Amino acid sequence: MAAEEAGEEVRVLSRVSLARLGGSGMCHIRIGPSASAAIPVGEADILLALEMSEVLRAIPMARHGAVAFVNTYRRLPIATGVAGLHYPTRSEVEEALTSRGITCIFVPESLAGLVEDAIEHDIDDARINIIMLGIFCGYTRLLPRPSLEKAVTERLPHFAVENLRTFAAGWSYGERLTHSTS
Amino acid sequence: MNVLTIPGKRLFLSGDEAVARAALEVGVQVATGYPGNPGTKAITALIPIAHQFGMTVEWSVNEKVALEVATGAAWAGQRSLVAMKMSGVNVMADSLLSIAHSGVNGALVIYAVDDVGTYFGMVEQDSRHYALLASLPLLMPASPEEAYKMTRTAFAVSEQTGAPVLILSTTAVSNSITAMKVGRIERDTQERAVGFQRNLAKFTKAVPQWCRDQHADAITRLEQAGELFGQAAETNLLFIPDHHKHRKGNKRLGIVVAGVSYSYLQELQGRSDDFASIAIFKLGSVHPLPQEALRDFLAQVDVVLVLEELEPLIETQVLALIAEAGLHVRVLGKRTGLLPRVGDYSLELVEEAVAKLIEGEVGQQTPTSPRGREGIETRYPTINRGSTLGFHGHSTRDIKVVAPPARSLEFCPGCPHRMTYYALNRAIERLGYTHDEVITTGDAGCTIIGMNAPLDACWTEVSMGASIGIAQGLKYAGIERPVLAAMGDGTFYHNGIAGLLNAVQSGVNLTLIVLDNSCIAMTGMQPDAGTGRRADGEPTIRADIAMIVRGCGVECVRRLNPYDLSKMIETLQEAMKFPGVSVVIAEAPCTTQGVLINERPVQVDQDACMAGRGCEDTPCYHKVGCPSVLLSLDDVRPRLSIDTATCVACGLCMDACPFDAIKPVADLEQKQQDVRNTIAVANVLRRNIED
Repeated sequence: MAAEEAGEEVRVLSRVSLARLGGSGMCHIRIGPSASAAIPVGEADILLALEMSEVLRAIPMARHGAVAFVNTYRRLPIATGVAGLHYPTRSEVEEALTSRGITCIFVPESLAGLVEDAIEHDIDDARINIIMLGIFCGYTRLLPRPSLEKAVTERLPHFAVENLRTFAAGWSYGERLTHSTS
Repeated sequence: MNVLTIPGKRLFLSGDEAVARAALEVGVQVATGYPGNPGTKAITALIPIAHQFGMTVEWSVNEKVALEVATGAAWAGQRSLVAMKMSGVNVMADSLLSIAHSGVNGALVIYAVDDVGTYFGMVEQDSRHYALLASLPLLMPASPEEAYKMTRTAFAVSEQTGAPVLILSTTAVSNSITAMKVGRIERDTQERAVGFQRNLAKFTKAVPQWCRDQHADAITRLEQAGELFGQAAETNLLFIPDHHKHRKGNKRLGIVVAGVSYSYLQELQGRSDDFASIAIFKLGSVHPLPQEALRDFLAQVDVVLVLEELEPLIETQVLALIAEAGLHVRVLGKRTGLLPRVGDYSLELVEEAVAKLIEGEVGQQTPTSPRGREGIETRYPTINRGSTLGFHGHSTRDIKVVAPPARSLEFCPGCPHRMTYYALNRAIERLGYTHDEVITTGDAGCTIIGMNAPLDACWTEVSMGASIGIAQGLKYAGIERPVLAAMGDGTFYHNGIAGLLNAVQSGVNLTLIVLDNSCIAMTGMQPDAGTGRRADGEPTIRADIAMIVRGCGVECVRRLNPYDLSKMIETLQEAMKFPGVSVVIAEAPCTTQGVLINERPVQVDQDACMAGRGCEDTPCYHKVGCPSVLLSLDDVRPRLSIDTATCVACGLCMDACPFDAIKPVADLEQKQQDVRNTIAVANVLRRNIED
């Protein structure tokens, strides 16, 4: 919505997402002219992972030189405990990304204590998608902030106030990341 | 605000929603469907605005009924829409063929979505064959924008010819979202007379000659529809390069393409100059094929690549056209083994196939595998596909680094189905059987999640309502141990009742568990016949499963709340021992909304928890399988806790804990306060003693 507002062509593809039921989901977003919503393998510029290990599933989508924003939230699948499967460590995830030429930016599960907005307004860390949107956009400045805020407001009007606060906290954190990595 | 009616000429719509918007614009009066992904969102989008625009929109009890309802409206002269996923096409097939041969008076558009690549589970099928089987006109969109345009065309063509028109989409199109230009909602100008004339020769199948005539009429309508498709802008697209550019080496190359593969081809066109020398025929009308135009196209090429997902349906017809016309054209596609018949296409796969066309490298090959030649299939690994109902932890198989953990679907926190399957496992144990000795046939929907660890309850999944027939067959085969079938309430209404009747009549011993949460939860909590409200929220009569079951002749019928665990276990034991068909209805609402079942949320008392110090199998985690029970392996010993943000206090983990270490939060707080009080008193006493 924000990209459309900013005058960009947008295509989105979400083939399936059953994260609510413990499955994994992957959504493709293409900003700019394209005939297909599906991002070709190895051509994604940005990976945005809302769960730490799930970024591994998306690695083949990324191009060399892509940037991955990885939230360190971990949702252990039942099978990890039941079948004794290994849940990757943070360093394993980082190694997997960097070995493919992907810059990895880990985002802490909670922004509490990390940015002023979060401290002032008791940001709800459960809004992980809004946090990550704010961080990613604050870092990359890919889209104008007013367009993003308008989209956040219109998408879920009932939660607009809370979501805008969360978005602002994420944006601040993303901006700070820009300064620390530049 | 509804996505279909946001003011403006450009709307951000999915493929499903684009179909709904077009139907709204052209004045659809009746829209029906059955929930199932892909494809659910067409009806979902229309429901909230049904009253506003004077439409009747419903979730029917199954797809066959949905088609019949929409057909009745179309026979009375209205414009109607019916929508479903591919499995539903199989369900409605009997009526579909009959209705296709009769035709309609108004307009009937059937919107179905094939899950090519099986992102949602169930059978990967090519539903285009139904168009051939039923002599139905068929359009295939390559994008959401085309889904919108083709729906408008489909209604117009259906009304002009009297043929029901099938629009067949795929997951990659129906679940894509993009901004598109839309037209005006002109419903006021679409008013039409309602009426139905008695015409036995058209609307019955009672006389053989009538049946033959109807068949002939269907073929005539199909041909008329084909002509109209040919006149509709952008349905079929043809690109022939300038004569001097058309030769690549000494060959003239061409591509025939349909469906989403065209969007991949468009992308590749923008990346390579090679396409300037390739003729392209993009097919929107797949049945009937625009034979004359296609024959002319084939006459202008020496080698043609056919790009279509799943079966070589167009490819085979292209070969027939070439043979009929006496052309000398080499055809590349699935029949030579170049392209796969399994799974969805991608830009990479299309790129590789086009490269083979250009390079002329493809020799005459024998198909080695339905998945296609190894060279193409293995070069591009499947990304995050896998069965949604199974593991897909191997999707990054080309990566040598650590793989993501396998994820199987889990019941939501506090789900009543988990309680039922947990009780079933306990009941099986109490009857003296091991877990692997008692078969429970499963069914489609949320209830099949019971097949996954740690419950491991269901053994099979066939189609809606099939679990009970399969169970009966297992008993017929001579399996003496108890056999159970498990299905949800939506599945029971959809197609389970006939199987139950059959089982009762057969006299076999089996137990049907109906996991009744009063809605179709998996696809978005749509209402079913037992919900007591219609799709628009209006109250309606609530079907009573117990009464239906008794009406089928079942004598042992038990209905109970699965959260009453001990009673549930006892009831299941009793049902499994009953001679004849027994039915246990586990009735409790879906917990997706996160409403607390018990007013007292729970937490782990870390002092009492014996995980890693006597409790090695941690049954609260390993036997319950609830996402709200968290297991941390970071500490010296396993640490269990309850995620209070998602826990709905069903109490199952409390029941599973052998050390009574999971307690209501209020009790734990009281305990902590007691400890603080005790310490305070001890400090006072110590000071007194010291003084």
